[in-house]
Amino acid sequence: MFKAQGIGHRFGSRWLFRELEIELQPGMVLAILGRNGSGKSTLLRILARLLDPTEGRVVQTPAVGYAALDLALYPSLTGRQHVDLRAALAGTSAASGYLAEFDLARAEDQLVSEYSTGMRVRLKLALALLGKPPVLILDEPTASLDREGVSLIERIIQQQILGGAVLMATNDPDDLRHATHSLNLDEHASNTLS
Amino acid sequence: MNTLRTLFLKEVRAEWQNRQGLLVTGAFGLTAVVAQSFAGRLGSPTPADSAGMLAITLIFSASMAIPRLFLSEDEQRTIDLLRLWAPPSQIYLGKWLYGALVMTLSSLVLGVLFSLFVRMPIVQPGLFAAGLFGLALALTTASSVAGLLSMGASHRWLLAAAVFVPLVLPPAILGMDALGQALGGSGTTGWRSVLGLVGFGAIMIGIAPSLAHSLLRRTPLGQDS
Repeated sequence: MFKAQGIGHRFGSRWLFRELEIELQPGMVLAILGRNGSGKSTLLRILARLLDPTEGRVVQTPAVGYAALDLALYPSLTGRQHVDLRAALAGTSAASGYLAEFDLARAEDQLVSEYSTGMRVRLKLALALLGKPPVLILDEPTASLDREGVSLIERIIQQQILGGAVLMATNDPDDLRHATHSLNLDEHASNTLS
Repeated sequence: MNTLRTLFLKEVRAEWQNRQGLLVTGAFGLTAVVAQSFAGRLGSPTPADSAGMLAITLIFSASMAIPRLFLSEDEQRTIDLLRLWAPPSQIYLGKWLYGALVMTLSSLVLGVLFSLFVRMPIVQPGLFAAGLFGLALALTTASSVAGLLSMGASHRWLLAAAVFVPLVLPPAILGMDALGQALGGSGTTGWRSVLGLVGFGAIMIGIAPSLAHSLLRRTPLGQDS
């Protein structure tokens, strides 16, 4: 359902990673591990097709949900307007009260500039899951979340793997409990995983 | 069409909520027209002088209003959201449509204020309106391409200004010619200049979506990336 072949990326003369082979099947949760600066977020941006790799190719299904800490939201739009924009562009519609599932019911008409960091993370998750994409890409999903937020992530991952797959970059040992496979960018200059 | 409409409405909502671009553009246009009316009392400006002043006001309005649609999105990094959700050409065209609306309204308001304050008789109203409209569309396209080309650069605003100057010269010359003759200046090429403005806009709008595709694209499915 999702395949990346021979992926490599470098900044200047330094290769972050090379020859990565990733193949996701339904039910898989692949955790991307590595110290800060190892290229976890860069790899996820490549897999979400926001960045071209220096070498290799990505073959994937069209629908990918992507939620990352560095993904910015429009400060001058409300949470509801973000959902409406995403739904309209995806040619779908969000059920009334959709944001309540992410504990944002009371903030849906609030400008995103007034959101806390945790609320922004929840909104990004809500946007990533709209349209039920088969592959969900999460960058540090539990960072900035309270206990309820972490439970929400756990629920999302459990639901996602029923018919799809999850790719997540994390350094949180708790997140690893959900992983069925892992890929450590520190340990391998070239990695194969399928 | 639905995607384009959605992206256009997003621009309207985001800009209306923020209003920064609209206020700066409006304040600049009004100040420029009032300053021109005072300058006009010191001596009688020729139709060519007046056309030049009006065209320069519109050029600066465009330089303030349009590139920021792209560059502020690039600075805030919200462009990634759009790249995830919509095709690059539609992202560009949504912004272009909003820019064209702002510039058309700006040129209409500035044209009326100009005729009231500067007291320059409009000899050919049809040519005046067509010249303003053509100039507004050509400037929208030129400045939006400048904004698009400057996205991702470390000195993006400086680059946008550098790209904007050569792109804006042809419509500026054509616009001044059309407006100058509409205000009673000599020459018979006014309508041809309007056609030139429309042609410039049409060629640029034909090229710009391909540029957007190259600059904002996500890796095509199943192809080498």
